[in-house]
Amino acid sequence: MVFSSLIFIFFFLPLSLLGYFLIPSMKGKNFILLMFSLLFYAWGEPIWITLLLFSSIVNYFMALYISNHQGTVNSKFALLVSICINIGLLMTFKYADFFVDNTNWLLGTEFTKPGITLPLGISFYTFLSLSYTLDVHRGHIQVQKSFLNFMVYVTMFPHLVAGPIVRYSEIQDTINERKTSWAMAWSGINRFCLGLFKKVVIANTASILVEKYLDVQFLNLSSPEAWFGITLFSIQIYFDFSGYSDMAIGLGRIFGFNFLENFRHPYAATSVGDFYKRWHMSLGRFFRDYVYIPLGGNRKFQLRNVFIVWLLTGFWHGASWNFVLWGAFFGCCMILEKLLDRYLKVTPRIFKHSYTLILIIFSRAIFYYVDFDKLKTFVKTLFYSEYPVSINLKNDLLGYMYFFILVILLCIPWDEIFNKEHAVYQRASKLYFYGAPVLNILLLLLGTVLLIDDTYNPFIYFRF
Amino acid sequence: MFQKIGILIQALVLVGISATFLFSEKKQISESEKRTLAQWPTLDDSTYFSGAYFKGISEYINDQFPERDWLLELSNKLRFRMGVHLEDEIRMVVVDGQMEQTNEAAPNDSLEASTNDFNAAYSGGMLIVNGAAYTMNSGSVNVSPIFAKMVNEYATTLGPSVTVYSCIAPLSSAFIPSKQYAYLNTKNEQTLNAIRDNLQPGVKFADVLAEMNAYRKEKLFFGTDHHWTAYGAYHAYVAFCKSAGLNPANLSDMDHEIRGPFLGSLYDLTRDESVKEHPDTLELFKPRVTTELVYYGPSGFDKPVKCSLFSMAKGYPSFISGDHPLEKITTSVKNGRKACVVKNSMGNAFCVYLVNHYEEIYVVDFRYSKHNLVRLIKDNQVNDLIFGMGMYGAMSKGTIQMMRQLGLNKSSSSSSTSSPAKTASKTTNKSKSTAKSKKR
Repeated sequence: MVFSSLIFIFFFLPLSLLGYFLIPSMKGKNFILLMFSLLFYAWGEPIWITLLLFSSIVNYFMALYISNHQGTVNSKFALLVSICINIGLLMTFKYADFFVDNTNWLLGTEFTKPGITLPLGISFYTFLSLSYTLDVHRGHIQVQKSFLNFMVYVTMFPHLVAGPIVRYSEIQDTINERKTSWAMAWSGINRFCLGLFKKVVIANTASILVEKYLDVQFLNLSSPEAWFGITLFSIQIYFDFSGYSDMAIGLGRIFGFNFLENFRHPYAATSVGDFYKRWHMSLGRFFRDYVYIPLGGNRKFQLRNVFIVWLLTGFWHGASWNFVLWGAFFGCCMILEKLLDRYLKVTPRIFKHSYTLILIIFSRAIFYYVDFDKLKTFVKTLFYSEYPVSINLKNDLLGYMYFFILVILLCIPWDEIFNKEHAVYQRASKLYFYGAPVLNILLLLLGTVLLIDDTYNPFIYFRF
Repeated sequence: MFQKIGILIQALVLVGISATFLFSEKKQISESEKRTLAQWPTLDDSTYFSGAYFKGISEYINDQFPERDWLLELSNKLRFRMGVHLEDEIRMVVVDGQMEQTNEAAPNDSLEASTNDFNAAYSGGMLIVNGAAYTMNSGSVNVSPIFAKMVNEYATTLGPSVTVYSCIAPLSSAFIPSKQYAYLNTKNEQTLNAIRDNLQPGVKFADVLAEMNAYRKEKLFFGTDHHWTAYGAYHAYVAFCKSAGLNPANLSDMDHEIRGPFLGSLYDLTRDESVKEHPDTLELFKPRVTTELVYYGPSGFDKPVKCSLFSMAKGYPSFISGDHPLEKITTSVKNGRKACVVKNSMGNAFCVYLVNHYEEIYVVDFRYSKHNLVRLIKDNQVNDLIFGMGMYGAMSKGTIQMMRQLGLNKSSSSSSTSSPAKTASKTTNKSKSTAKSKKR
C-alpha cells in the first residue's frame, strides 16, 4: 500500500488509528499496530510477507541468543549467522539475477536467471534488522524480549517499505511504553500533510515533465533540455523521497514514536560530503557506523574507506552496474574533495554550492538510466546535441514558473538562515501554528483531488 | 486545546469523507471517462496470491469515490492551472496509452486490438497546439514494407480481376501548425513512401498525404478526437480517385450539415482543459446518392441489421453508423462496380464518398471481422479491394497480421447463408444500436 493513496488516507489510516487509540493497554496497541502493519505489507506483497516474517523471526531469536551469550565465541558466531542470513536474503532476492547475468557474461556459462521479483522494502528491513543484531552484539542496546514488540519495531508500517532505516536505539524507550500527547499527534498530522503535498503536488507534477523530457523526447533532446529534464528528476526524487519520509515521521509521531530526520535541505549543501550528511541520513548513519568506522574511519586508510562505503551505498540502491557507477562517482567526488580540502575551505560559498548542485544533478542521470547505452547517449546530449532547443523548454519554464518558485522556496533551509530566536522565525511559526488546521485540510483535499485518477503512484525508493 | 480542536476537525473531515463513500451509490460505468468502473473484486487463491485482490480494492475505492466525475474535472483544472499557459502555446503531454472503449457492437476479443492500434499512434506523446491535440508519432519505415507485403499477397491471391489499392492516411502529426514540427510531415511521408516503394506492380498507391498537404490549412483532423474530419477524408477520396482514374465528386455537389459541438477521444484521453475549451463541430458532406446500409456480426451473414450512411450521432461515429465487423452499402449508382474496403475507423469517413462510384461497397473492419476476405470478394465479384485506413492500422505488426488473417479465416460463407447478397431480404431495422457504437 502507498501512503499517497485514497485507500490509505480514508480507510486504512482512520481504521488503524481507531483500533490503536480505542485499546487502552500498550500490549493491545502494539498488537493492533502489528496487525495493521502486516496488512499494509500484504497489500503490496501478498507472497513475500512470508519472507518478512521469516527474517524477523530469525533476527529476533538470533539477537536473544547473542544477548544471552554476550562476550562469548557463541555470540560472535550467532552474529555471523545473523549477518549471513540477512545479507544472504538480500543477495538472493535482490541481486540473484544480477550475479547470474554477470557470471554468464564473465564465464560464458548459460545459467538461467531465477527471475525473482524484488520484495518490497527488503533493502530497508534487512538493514534495520541487521543494525539491531549488531547493536545487541555491541551492547549498545538492550535486547527486546517481547516478540510482539520486536515485530512492531521491524514491521511498523510507517517505516517498513521505504525507511527511514530506524535504529532500535531511537525507539527503545518508546517501544515498550509510550504516551501520545495531543501536541505530538498534531505535529505528526502536520508533518504527514506536508509530506503528502510534497509527493502528490510537487513530485508527481515533476514526474510528468521528467517523462516528457527524459523518455518521450529522449532521442531529439537539445543540451539545455537534457539539463532541464535531469534537474526536474532531481526535484522529483527529492520531493518524492523526502515526502515519503515526512509522512513516515508524521505517522510515527501520531503513534507516539520519534524517528530521526532523514533529510535536511540537501540541495543547500556546499560540498558532496555535506550533501550526503543531508540526504537519506538514516542510510548514511548505517554505513558510517557499521562499515566506515569499523574499516578504520578517518584514522587509517580514510580515502579507501570512503570509496568502499560509496561503492556499497551505490550497490545498495539496486542490482545494476549503473548504481555501482553512481557510487563510484560519488566516492571519487568525496576523495577529490578531501584532497582539495584546503583550497575548498577558501573557495566562496556560492561556487561550492554551484559545483555541488551540478555534480548532484549530473549524478541523477546515472540513477535514471539503468540502460548503459541510453545513459551514454544522454550524457553525450548533456554536453553536445545536434538538435535545437525546442519551444517546450520555454513553455515549460514559463508555464511552470510558479511551480519552480515553490520548489526553490521549499529547498531553502530557512531554519538554518533564521535561528529559532529570530523574529521572522517566531512570526512564521506562530502563523503556521494558527493556520495549520485550515492548511492541513486544504492539503488533504488537494491531495485527494489529485489522487482521484491515480490508483497507484509508487514512491521512487520502493524499487530500492 | 487548540491542537485538540485541530485534530478533531481533521478526524471529522477524514471520517466524514470515508462515511460518504460507504453510503454513496456505486456505479458501473463512467460516462465522462467512457469506461467500466472497477467493482469489488472476488477473493480466491489466484486473486490473493497475484495481488489482484488488494489492487482491485484500491481501484474500487478510486473508481467509486463520491463525486468522482466532479473531482476528476477539478483535478484536470488544477493540473492545468498549475502552470501559466501562454497564447499560441504548444505543449507536449504524455498519456499512459490506456484507452478503454465501450463499443458494444464489437466482440470483446477485438476490443484489445482496436485499442492497441489507437494507443500505438499516441504512445509517442501528444502535442496540444492552441487547444487541439496532435499525435507525435509518425509511423515506422521498418513496418511499412511488412504492410506492403501483406497487400501484395492479397493482390497475388485475388489475381488480375481485382484491383488492389493502398490508401493510407497520414497521422495528424503531419499537420501540426508549427515549423518546429514540420519534420514530422516528412517522417509521415517517409513511412507512406516506404509502403509505395514496396508495393508490387499492379497494386495502386493513393498518395493521400500529397493531396492533403495541398490543403493543410483546412481543418483536416479534429482537435479533440483522433479521427480526421470530413474534409480530411475527402482529400483522401480525391487521392484515391486519382489513382483509380475516377472523377471525384465535388463537395459543393453534396448536402452540407453541421452538428455539434462535441468532445472526442483525445479529450477523453488527455482530459486537457485547453482541449476542452476548444470543442469540435462535425461537418458532414452527404453525397446525393440513395443508399441502403446493413451491418453484420463478426462472422456469418444471418442477422443483418439495417442502419444508415450517416447516423444521428454527434461525433465521428456518425459516419457509416460507426464500427462494425462487416457493412454492406448498396447505392443507386447502377454501374455494376463493386468495392471492398478494409479499414479501421478512419475508413468510415472515407467510405461515404465512394458511394458516388460503386453499386455495392463491402466495408470490413479488420479489427472485428472474422469473415474470409478472399471468399467475400470472390463470391460477390468485387472489382476493387481498397485498404483505406489511418496509418495507425498499418504501423504495427499486430494489426497487419490481423489483416492477413482476414484472408485465412474459415469462412462462414459456406453456410446456408453464403453471402450478404443472399441475406439482404432478412434485414432487421436496428438503427438504435448505432447510438451504442461509441468512439472509433
